[in-house]
Amino acid sequence: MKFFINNKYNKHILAIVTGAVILCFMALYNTFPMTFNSDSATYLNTAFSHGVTAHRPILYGLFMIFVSLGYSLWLVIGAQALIVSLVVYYFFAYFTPAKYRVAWFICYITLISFFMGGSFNVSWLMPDVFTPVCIMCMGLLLFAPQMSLRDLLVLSLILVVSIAMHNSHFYICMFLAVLLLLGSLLKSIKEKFNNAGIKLKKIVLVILLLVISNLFLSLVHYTYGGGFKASRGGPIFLMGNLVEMGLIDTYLAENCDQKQYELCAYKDSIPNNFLWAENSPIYIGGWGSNKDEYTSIIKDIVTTPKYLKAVVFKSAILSIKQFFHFDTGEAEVPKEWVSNTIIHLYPNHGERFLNARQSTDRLGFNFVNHTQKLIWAACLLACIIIFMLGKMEIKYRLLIVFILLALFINAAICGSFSGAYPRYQSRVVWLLPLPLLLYAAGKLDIKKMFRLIIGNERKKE
Amino acid sequence: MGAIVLCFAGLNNKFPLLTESSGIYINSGFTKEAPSDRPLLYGIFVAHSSWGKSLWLTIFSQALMLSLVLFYYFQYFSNSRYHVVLFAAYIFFITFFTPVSVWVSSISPSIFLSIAVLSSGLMLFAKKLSRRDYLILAGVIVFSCGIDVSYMLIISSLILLISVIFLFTRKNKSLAKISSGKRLSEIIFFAVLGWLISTLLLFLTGGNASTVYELNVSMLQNLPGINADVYSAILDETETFKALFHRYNDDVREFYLSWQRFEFLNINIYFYSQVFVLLLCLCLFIYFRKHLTGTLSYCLFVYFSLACIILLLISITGGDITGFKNTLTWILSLPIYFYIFKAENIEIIKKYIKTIHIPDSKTSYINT
Repeated sequence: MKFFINNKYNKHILAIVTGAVILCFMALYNTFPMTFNSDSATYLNTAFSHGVTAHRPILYGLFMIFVSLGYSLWLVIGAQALIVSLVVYYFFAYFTPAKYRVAWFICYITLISFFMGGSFNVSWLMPDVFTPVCIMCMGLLLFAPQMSLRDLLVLSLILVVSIAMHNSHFYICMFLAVLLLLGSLLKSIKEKFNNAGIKLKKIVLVILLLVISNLFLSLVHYTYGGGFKASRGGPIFLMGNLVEMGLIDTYLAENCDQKQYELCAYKDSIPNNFLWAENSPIYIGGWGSNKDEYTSIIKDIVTTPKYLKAVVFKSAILSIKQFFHFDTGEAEVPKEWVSNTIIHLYPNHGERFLNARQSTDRLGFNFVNHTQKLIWAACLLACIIIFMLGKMEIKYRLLIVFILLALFINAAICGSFSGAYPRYQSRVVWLLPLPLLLYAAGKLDIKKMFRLIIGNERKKE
Repeated sequence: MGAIVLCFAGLNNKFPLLTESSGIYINSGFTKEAPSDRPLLYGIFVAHSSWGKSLWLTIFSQALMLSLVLFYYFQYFSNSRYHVVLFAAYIFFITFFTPVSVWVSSISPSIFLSIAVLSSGLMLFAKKLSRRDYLILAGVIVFSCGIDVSYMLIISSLILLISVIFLFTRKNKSLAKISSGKRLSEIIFFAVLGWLISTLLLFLTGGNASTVYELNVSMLQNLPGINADVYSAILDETETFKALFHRYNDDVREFYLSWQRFEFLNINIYFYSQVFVLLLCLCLFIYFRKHLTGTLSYCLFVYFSLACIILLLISITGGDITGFKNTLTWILSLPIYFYIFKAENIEIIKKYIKTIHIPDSKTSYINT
């Protein structure tokens, strides 16, 4: 056993597997992988029926089907946990000395699994877990010094696949990459980038991978008869958010006299949950047939200064709101058709699914939500203090900026285009302690710290 | 940034927090008619600070005012060169361990009592107050006391009590740091001025002065009841919802999606943790009392404690002690915080961090 652990590669593998098991905590506690609303079942159904829907990419459904081997959804959770564990481990491998690497890695995994939403996201049958994965892959490709070819290929592959899992990923990562590219064009920032090892060619490589991912998803959709198009339902999601902002009410009230939109017939009865309410006018004709009309309304709104001003103001509020709105635990009791889908596709696990804590309404998230808020606040404060003092090594400071930017861009894109919902921010909020822990692992002598505390205590005695 | 963090409860709720009386204030601000059981100034503040557009701007204004007053505290009273860092840390502390963020994020005047007490404390104890800051603080006191007659009474009683102690026992250690006796009269003047302006405003809008000097027509009777329960779901039939619908129609859909509306709001934790914070502060005060005596932290602690006691007495005479969860106890943490993070202690912490810090290295760790 000792020989097994002492072997360099076995040690890495053992650490990653241990991390993955800890990350599955919420699924193990629930006694079954968790589902979200109707979405998890929709992903499975569309992939099984080989049909591309108007509002979601098909890739996550395919991922679930292939990885589960049509046998068990535990394999999906296992794969998600392994991917997250691997990428996090890469961070510790590139940023911390070997001596306490595994200990620090397990420490971080434990923190995000038991006290933040990390384990919940891994244990959920939703593509949300791939958002932090693509942000971390981007971070590694940009910041990791002297990356080996093997690691470069592995991370590039994970980045390409994880971006294709959800509509928002491409925009979040592209926005982030373009910001970095613009930064590298400014002399003062370029110098800082050079000191931190962020080279222009690395940024270009990331952008190239993003484009490849988009093409890859388009190709997958084309193969399944959904046309050569990656993003699905963009204008409809934006329309839903404009309804929630209250702008569509104003727009229709002021314009229905001159413009003959079909939506005008429903202007006094548009439900708040425009996208998913059964009585929503969107379901008279469906997503596809309403797309042109909604696109034209959106175009009119964003090209009219009066409405644009309101859109910008509301989007800013939504972005800030989304940044601060990150409660974990959107796992309500599954609806009947979700249960039916799971039982139909995985009949050997039907009973376990029906007896799970989520299905029997025995799941609570108050503790995790409270600790998550406190950890988030402590980390944000630490980041602010670091920037006020300005004494930390530039590489770590830029890594903090990168993570904070990613968190804010995620909030801005999700908040502005889809609405402020806790799951959008809860999926990435557990990345905030990562750069701080990497710094602590690489730059603080923890042993000496404890020795000093104990020493002081002894002196006092 | 401090103001944004202070709005955390509102941002987390996805909409400013509303109480059943928020609607009364919103309506009175637009109609300029004094409600029968509330003062008018806060309603006007809501209407103007929101620009008639969004209640987010109102809670941000409240947060900005509190953040500014707290910032002045650190600027004038902290002897550490890291006072901005300490200020940021304190803002995070009160946001996540006390219900301050809940009050700041509410369409309710309750936060102005804390602002009034803090501003008067600053004016009383800050010796080298610049002219600009003096005028700003005076404005804040005038405005906060004008919000409610009970705030004016609390501040006036507090200052009168301090004056009596100051007159008879000039060498009293608890008041050793008062900048000058003149300031005592100035604060009372500003508090009364606020009340007079509020009365004048009421006359100008055709109201009756009795609505500002009758004690039962103020926040006073509602103070004891301020706790997590007042933030229950606002239903469509309530005056608050109707006011929101008529005055901020664009915000109604946003409100429909808020946690408060869905009854998902979980703010009890802040009220519980405040109790622990209060107990901790009292324990620390007793533990350090020998070192604290005569220091600024000691004077501030006595001043804030007196303010809390006056509020408590008023609540008892108001007949409701059971629901007493006042809006003021959190400020007791401020003087203790100053004491813990005084410059000497910061230097010790700095030295400690330096000792455990490993020097920078540019090598990759992957091969080690």
